[in-house]
Amino acid sequence: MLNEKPSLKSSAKALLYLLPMLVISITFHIYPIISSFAMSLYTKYDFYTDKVGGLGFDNFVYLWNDPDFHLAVKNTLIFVIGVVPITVILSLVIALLLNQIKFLSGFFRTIYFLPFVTSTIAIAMVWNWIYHSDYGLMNYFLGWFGIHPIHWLTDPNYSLLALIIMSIWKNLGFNIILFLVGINNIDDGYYKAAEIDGANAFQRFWNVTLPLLSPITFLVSINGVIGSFKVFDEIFALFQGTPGPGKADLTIVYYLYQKFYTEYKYPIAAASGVVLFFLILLVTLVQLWYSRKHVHY
Amino acid sequence: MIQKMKKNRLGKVLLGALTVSLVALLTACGAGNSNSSTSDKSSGNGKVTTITFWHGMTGPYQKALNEIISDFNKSQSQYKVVGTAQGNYTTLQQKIMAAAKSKSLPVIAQTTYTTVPDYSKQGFIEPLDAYMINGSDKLTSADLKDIYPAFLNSSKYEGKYYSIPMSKSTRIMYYNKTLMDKLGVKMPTSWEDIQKIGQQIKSKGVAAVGFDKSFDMEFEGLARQAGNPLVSPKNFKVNVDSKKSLEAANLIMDMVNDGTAKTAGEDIYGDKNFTSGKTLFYAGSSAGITHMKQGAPKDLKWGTMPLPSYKGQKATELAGNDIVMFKSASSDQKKAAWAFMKYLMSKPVTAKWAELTGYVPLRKSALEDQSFQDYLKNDPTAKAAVDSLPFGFQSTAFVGFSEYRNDLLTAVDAMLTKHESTSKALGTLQNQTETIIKSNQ
Amino acid sequence: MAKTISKILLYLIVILGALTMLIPFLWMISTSLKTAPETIKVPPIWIPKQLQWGNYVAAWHAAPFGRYFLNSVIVTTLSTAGTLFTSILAAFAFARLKFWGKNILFVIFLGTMMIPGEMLIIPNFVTLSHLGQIDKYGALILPWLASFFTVFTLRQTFQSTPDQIYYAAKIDGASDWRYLWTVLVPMSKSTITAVTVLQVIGSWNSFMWPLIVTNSESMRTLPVGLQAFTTDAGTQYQLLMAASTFVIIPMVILYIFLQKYIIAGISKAGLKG
Repeated sequence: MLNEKPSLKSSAKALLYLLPMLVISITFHIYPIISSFAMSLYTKYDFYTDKVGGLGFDNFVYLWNDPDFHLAVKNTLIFVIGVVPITVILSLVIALLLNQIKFLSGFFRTIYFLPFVTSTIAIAMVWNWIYHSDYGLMNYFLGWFGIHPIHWLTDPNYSLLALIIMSIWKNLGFNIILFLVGINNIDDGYYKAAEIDGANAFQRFWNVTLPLLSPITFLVSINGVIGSFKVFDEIFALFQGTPGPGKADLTIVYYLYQKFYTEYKYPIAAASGVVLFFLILLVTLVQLWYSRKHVHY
Repeated sequence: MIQKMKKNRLGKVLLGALTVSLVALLTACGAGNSNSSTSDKSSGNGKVTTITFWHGMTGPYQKALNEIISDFNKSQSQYKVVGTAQGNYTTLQQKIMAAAKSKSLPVIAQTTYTTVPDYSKQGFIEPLDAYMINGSDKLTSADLKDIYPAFLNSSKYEGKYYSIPMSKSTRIMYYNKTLMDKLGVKMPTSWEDIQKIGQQIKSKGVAAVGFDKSFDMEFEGLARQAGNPLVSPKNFKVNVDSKKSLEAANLIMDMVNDGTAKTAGEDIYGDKNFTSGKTLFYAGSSAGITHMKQGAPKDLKWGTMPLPSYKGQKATELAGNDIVMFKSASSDQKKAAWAFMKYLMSKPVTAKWAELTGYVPLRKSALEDQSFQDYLKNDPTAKAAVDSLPFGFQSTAFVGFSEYRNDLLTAVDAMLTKHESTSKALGTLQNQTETIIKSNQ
Repeated sequence: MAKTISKILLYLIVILGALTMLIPFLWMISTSLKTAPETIKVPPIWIPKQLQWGNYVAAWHAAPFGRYFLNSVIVTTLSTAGTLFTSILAAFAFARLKFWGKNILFVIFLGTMMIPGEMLIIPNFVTLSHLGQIDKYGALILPWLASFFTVFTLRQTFQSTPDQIYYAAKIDGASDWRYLWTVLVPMSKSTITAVTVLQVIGSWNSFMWPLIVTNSESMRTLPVGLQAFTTDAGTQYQLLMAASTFVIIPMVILYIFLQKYIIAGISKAGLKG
């Protein structure tokens, strides 16, 4: 039973289990993705009558030459690198802390979750105030350390950082929940065994918690990377429908949105989606390969 | 363990029942029936023709529009208009796009007039000449003369009418009377006056004039006053970085750079700077009057006036939305739609719409309407927009306008946040705009 | 002594963090009780002169929120229940069943997460239009009956359960189906509660999709109602925040009730047997 190879019978059975999800996913995810990818190869296309006039890689050449797209890719990469590692570490630390608290633990867990529940519009409104150059909370605190007021939302040098901070803050609650699940799914028995072996708190963390947490850490990282690459809503809300000062917050999805919905350049938008897909896929495959060695089930 | 498994059969059954009821509920329930008018292409004699109208009005504007729609429905028994709010203009455009692709467009929809060239190119809007100029229910020549020329002109594309004006506003100048009296400033009549005032009150820490986040509309107005539109309506010649346009841009940027003008930056709209006394005047939209009324502190006496002249000329940009008719509607529906559109442009209705919303009336004779006169008497702030209409203009529309608008906003943003010179930013914009227009010829 | 200091430090850090999490929420409530001029006052005020509770009444009446609430409940309940069902099955297949192409299929589905939703709106709208589901519950629910993120999360947990339990059950003669629903699912209460919460919130707060696929007021959901407060003339922040608050409250209440299940952990019963 342990080393059974997949057979026709077992595959058919698995198909039955997968069928409900497959039906929905193929109809609403895979089919539109394939048709969007196909659209990226259309060089002459009438979106509304579905008439294709030519095929080719022209759209990708356009992206290759478009400085706006280069900017979008650069901003997106900076965003992902800025957000994901900090989010994973911070949410893990907070989950561990929340797990240690006995008094009012439910209360605190609810509070840490609030940002995730609050609508993006309300959050953007608040952060607009926090980041205000004249009376914002951020500059107020920085003032205590003698730092001059920063124009978070109107200075192209700082606006990406402003976005990164807000995003990390907003998504903490989501990831904290996942880590809480992971931490609490670790059987006490392992810790007792480690204590008996004489392990101290740090050793218990490093040798029991972290490895047994690896499936969830893996999930949080992959989801974090994929989600960060697709950032758009937060930019649209924080910068009120613009990609930031001097386009400093133009990301690939924002670029896609503009090309599709404002400039009606549908095949180019599709092409940018394809490029985004392969970028994410690349990073994810690296993570998957890494997980073979380091994720323990 | 097996006993436990037997006990949980109930859970499985419940789950199965849930799934079945789910499927049943989904496919059967919904409100689809009330809006089937798009596919209902027939209407025999005596039957009511229903038409769907998608719009982007929200809150009190939506209430006002619903009132006018119900007035129309009550006034006759042949046609029925069903209005559907589709969020704001951005989401409305997305909705139209999705509906066009799935061939489920409504009969008429509100849209920014600048999308007309693109919609026309994509082939889904109906030219209106057959109804407006030639049909049995056409507008008379008196009607055509009565409607403000700026609106009629912007509704024309390639010589044909494609839309009718609906919700229009103008740029106006708000002034802070309390602060003016305090600083001893007289009412300016020209931008040159404002420049002088700027120098006069600079030492008091107050900027003369405030703009919204982007000053593109004032820039275009000033460019026209200096002598050329940014894009000529006749031959789509691009004048973005002409000598005259650069003069206009420099007027604004010089003031911004020396502190005598302020843009709203992260506040998006200049009303915050205005109500907090940071700017003496504020060039903003007439649609913002309601907001200003609600938000200004009680002790701030403010008023409105048309934008000042420049080089002895007056020109104020008009903004707003039109209504377009979709080709996919049936001929009965199109007839009904035109009846409604004509109704909207009639004197009493356009006056009522203006009174309820603060948008400007579409025809000159509406000003003579008694209730409108009373409205102006009760609310003098509404007068500035109306007074601006004779010299109002709408930015020239062309295929690819939204892309151009994005580039224009980027150019303004570059001047403000990246401190690019006006000649550099506008030079880039000139090239981009020429490319857009050429590629769509 | 050291233990007390570290405990105090612990609480200090947690409280500080909690404050940063709480501030925007408090700002939301504070703004919802202001008058219109107070919302744009510069510098901003925290406590309004008079608490404008009337804003909540005005906001509720600004749009048919009662109907929106009902729709949100229906849509959220059905899509979450549906997603749980499809995801539990699929996650089990990936975690415990053997079949050809398992890894490739996993990566393909992972790939579906890599496409931005903005690209899928129009194709899915067209599909649902052809199915005649526009302006019906179908359009609001069908595309959301599967979530690979949920499958992924459940699969991680299912795969982490001790193999012995699975094999013991099979030796006892239990079928996979029995094992899944009578042993594995109860054991995974924590994860299932967590993904339920995440799914519910995602569905509840969804704005763009319900707006696009519905035309009638009678079919719209809560977040769509928030549109009523932003007009050409600007946004009425005090009403918007009041309305946002009553959109959020049900989610907060739900979370408060469910969060103890999230930290319950793996049911120990499995290991003893």
